[in-house]
Amino acid sequence: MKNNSRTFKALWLAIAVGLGAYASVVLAQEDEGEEADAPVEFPASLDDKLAGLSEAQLAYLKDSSKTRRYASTTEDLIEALEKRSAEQVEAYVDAMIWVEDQTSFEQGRDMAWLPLNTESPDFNAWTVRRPRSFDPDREPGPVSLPRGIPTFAGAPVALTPEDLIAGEVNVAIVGAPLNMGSGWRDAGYGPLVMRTSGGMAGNDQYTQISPSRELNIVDYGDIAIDNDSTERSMQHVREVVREIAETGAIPFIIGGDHSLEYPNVAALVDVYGKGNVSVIHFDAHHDVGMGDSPHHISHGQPIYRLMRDRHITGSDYIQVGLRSGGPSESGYRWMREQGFKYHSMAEVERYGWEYVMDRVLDEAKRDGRKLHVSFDVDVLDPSYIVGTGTPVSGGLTPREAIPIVRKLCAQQELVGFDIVEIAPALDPTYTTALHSAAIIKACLVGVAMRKLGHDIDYLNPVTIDHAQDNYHEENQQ
Amino acid sequence: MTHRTKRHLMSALALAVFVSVHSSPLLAQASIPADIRSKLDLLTQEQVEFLGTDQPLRVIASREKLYQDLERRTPEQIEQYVSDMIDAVEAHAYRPGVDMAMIPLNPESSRFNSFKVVHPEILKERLREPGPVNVHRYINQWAGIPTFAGAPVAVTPEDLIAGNVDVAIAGIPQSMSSGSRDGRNAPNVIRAMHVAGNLDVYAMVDPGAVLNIVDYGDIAVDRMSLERGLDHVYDMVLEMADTGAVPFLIGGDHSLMYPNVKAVQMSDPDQALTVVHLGANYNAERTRAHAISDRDAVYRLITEGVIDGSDLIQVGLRGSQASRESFEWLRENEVRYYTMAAVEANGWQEVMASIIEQAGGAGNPLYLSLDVSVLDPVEMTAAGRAVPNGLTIREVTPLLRRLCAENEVAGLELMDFAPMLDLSYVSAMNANYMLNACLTGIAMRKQGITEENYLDPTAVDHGQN
Repeated sequence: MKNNSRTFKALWLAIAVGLGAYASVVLAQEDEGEEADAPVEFPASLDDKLAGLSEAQLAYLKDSSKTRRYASTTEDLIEALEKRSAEQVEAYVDAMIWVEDQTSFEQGRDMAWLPLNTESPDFNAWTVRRPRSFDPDREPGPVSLPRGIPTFAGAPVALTPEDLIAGEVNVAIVGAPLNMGSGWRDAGYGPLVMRTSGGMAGNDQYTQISPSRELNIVDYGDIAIDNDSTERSMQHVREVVREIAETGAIPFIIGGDHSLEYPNVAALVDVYGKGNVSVIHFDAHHDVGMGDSPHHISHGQPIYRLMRDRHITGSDYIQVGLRSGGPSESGYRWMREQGFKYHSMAEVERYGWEYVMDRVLDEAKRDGRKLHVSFDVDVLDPSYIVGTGTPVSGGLTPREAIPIVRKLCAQQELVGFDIVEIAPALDPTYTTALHSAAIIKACLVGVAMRKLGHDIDYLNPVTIDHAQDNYHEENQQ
Repeated sequence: MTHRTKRHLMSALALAVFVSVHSSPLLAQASIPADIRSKLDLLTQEQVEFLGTDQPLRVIASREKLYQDLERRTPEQIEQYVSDMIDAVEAHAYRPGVDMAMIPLNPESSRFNSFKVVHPEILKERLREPGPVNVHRYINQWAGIPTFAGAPVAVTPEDLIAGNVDVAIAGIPQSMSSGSRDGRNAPNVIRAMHVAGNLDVYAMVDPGAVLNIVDYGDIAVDRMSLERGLDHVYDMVLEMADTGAVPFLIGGDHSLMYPNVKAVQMSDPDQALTVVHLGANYNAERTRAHAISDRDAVYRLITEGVIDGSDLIQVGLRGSQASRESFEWLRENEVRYYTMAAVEANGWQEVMASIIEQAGGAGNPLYLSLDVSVLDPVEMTAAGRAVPNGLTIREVTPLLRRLCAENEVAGLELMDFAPMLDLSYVSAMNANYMLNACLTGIAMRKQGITEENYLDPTAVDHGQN
């Protein structure tokens, strides 16, 4: 009790939140065309029932922006009042006012913070690293684990930035088993299943390129997660992703849920600077969030948080595959204003996949910046990805997704990649892991293609033609 | 010692954060063997003393392994090793000015509390008399609209009072804490199984016929925060219990035990409850950074004085969560625990007899906190924190039936059911059968059957000889 004010003294945090709130105001979505409607006129037949209401109660009842969620039209409202007694009419208005009062934040009644127990001797236990001196001396560099220990891409293991530097590592694949940001379901086991299922970096027949031969790839272990707090987890994920990127290696983050997009992109901006990173966001959901959630982070709003904290702007974003219930038309308009380049499945239905893919590649190329690919597996159709927390029908096929990922990763400098929302418990079969591995591999192949100097349309000439005739020459397209 | 005030839960927890200051580390010095001591010349006096305390055991598994590590290192290596060890131990604690002391929310949100705002009856398009609403078309409805125990639906305390409701079953679709996260789907999957509220052949009692049962719908939670849901769960459960109905609460993970038990206790603050907690995990960890989770709900209830340790009975413990220190803490608080090791040593019948004796000993009403992990995973694949070597459904249902028949029941919760983990119907069926076992007990009691270990004579013998 004596120290009750102590936790409220985290001044830096208060400042951060204050700035955030300011940014929220700046970014706040304006409801365009929201003019105040004229007060509703009630028929004289209701006079008796309305006579007992106070001025404030009557004004509330006449404000259709307030009553519309209970009675969508004036006629419905009049009908609702007609069948209620004078006493019930008053209770009706009071209940509406009560709901409004209860719904918004009230100082003193509602917590503006979630408390943590700073007295816990294990407050940071989850992030404490094992000192090197606890283990026998070894030279820095990736450690090969022969005889079947499961690692991402069957790669050697690296645990420190020194290991990455000594191994001249190009790609560090790291797990981030966060399963809280969705509030339910089970993305936490994504990294484990992706280690045990393989299929990530062997030979690619399309290009006859084997990423594990062309690139130095390591398994960087898992990033510690506090699965009772998305917010705390993000801080640590950002630190570890940053430490990978600082060595020049490309972090490939295996989630975990899509809240991870926030720390991943923030870490890359930390390293490469504001305005230097574009993000290609593959997802059935827009994940922008638009700032009206009681929480500052969840898997539905990492992009808004990135914008609010001024790591990126909407114009740094290209989105592909959107088809969930949101955003609404006004949400899309707001995204347009913010500069988002979005590509919904409705656009694919209208123009066809090839056309949309070329448009995306062209936009990314014109931005010309370093690239982060954030791949939510639910962009694929649920028939390919059964194991995901928030599936939506009508998604991309692997035959559509693999080429665009390969080409994007080959087209310009890739500085980060994440694949999120793999929830193995929801898929009793191997297919979710298989398709997820194929997407990771497509990107690794792209990175290797760029290193080898191939253009983005490269496919191996021997693979694409049996050469028993001159068919292609004789049938020029 | 017991303080049972109506203070709100989160403020109670925020307070608990400050009064639960951990006992300072043991300063008793272990005597370091002479051959190791001789290698410590490069260490400072403080570093040597550190090695003698229990602090190194927070980062090294045992004192034996610590000595092994020291033995095979040179004095120079030891200097680095101990210095790193002290840094690692210190890194466990909160760092003022560096770590977040609390997690900010967004008070600007126009829907800050929208998850928990109850829909007032007066605002509904059609008005109705209070009382349970029957949602079945047929007299002998099979399946149909899925409700708990196939029961009518009630949504307000007035409905419970008007319906003379004996048992109100509510879902709390919360999916957080440490287990696998599908608690959100638990209430609806249990509703859809529709095998509770049926004739129990062992006692020949049909709780669906004897009792007024309702489905009280779901109690809303914030899917992104345990903390923000607690007060609302508390308010709703208190509201249910205050009508005289017995709340049956379908979680959700075991963190909900904290608001649930507190609400049921507060509905009759002067009458102590006996809590029978069945589950694989003891849930009384005390050193966590978080104010509440499934791993510490029991710790909160006891240290806050909501229940006395001596009124808590734990059954089926076997997960690695509980260490020797945990059990010592339970003993200090006079908790009656029955581990699976006790079952291995004494057999289930003897253990069950002891549980029933303990449960009835004080003559208190019972609150049953039923974590589905008490069952073996083969019969409850869908446990959020499953542990092998559990009880069987044939062991658990008689215990539940007897506890609920031979004692007054104040409440029951069924926790940590994560349906996505079971592709079959078995977990949902067994969850329902556990509910039905207690419903049967309550119905037996209502009919005046309270004798020990009652089974219907017609059911136990064909009577042909």
